[in-house]
Amino acid sequence: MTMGGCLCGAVRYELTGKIRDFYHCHCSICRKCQGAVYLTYASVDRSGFRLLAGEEALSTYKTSPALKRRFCRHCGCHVFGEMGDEISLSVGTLDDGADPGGREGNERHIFWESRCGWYEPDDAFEKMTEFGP
Amino acid sequence: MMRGGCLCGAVRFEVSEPASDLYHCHCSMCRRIHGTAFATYAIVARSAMTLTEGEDMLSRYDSSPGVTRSFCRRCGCQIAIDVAYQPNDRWFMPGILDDPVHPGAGNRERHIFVASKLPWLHLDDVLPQSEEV
Repeated sequence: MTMGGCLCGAVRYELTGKIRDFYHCHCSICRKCQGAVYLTYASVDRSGFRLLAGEEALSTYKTSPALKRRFCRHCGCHVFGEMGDEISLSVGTLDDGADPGGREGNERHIFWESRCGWYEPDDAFEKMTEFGP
Repeated sequence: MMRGGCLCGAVRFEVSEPASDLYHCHCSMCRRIHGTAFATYAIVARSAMTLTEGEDMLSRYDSSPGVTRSFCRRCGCQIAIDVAYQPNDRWFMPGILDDPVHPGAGNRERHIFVASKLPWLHLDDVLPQSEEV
């Protein structure tokens, strides 16, 4: 079973479903929400995600009417985003650096034009101006 | 002068001098608290970084004894780290600078704690890598 959570341990989840998308986001909203040069997300249907602990510890910050970003109020870790029926996991929150799957055919850089400008991942994945397919 | 802040705008800061060190940290704690594949930090003198807005909006979390991380309680953005045994330094997140400005210390930029890196993450072959700091 693939599990994960925030750093302080208040928020815990398990991943039971198949990852349906996987991408590295360089937009300034994601960067400024999590304090990073880019972010990596794996998305899964809500039915494939189960919160095991910490609903009361989760704060919500909406960056668009449809996207709720959920972070731990104790340690600040952005654990996942909710958009409709989709959960976007912050991959750094998976236990033991687990590979959640779903990279094959999906892994790409999105909002590449908004990147921080001085650090660029050196890989062969597609660099897309917007979100992509 | 470099300027930056969190996504919601509650926390704003200025940095008056270029960084002295620039790390991409792959340790499991930094990956988890940012939710990222790795975390990027620029080191400056504490006296060079001024919080211009939002002191009352900062929450603090000690991720280990003497390592205090601050984040915006409204949007969850990680802002800076103070390490007790480095009383003159502050680690900040160059990914949250307003403009795509280089934080400095380009010649000191390196990957640290690479023994803990995500096994599937492809690192560049250009920057130095170290097992620890």
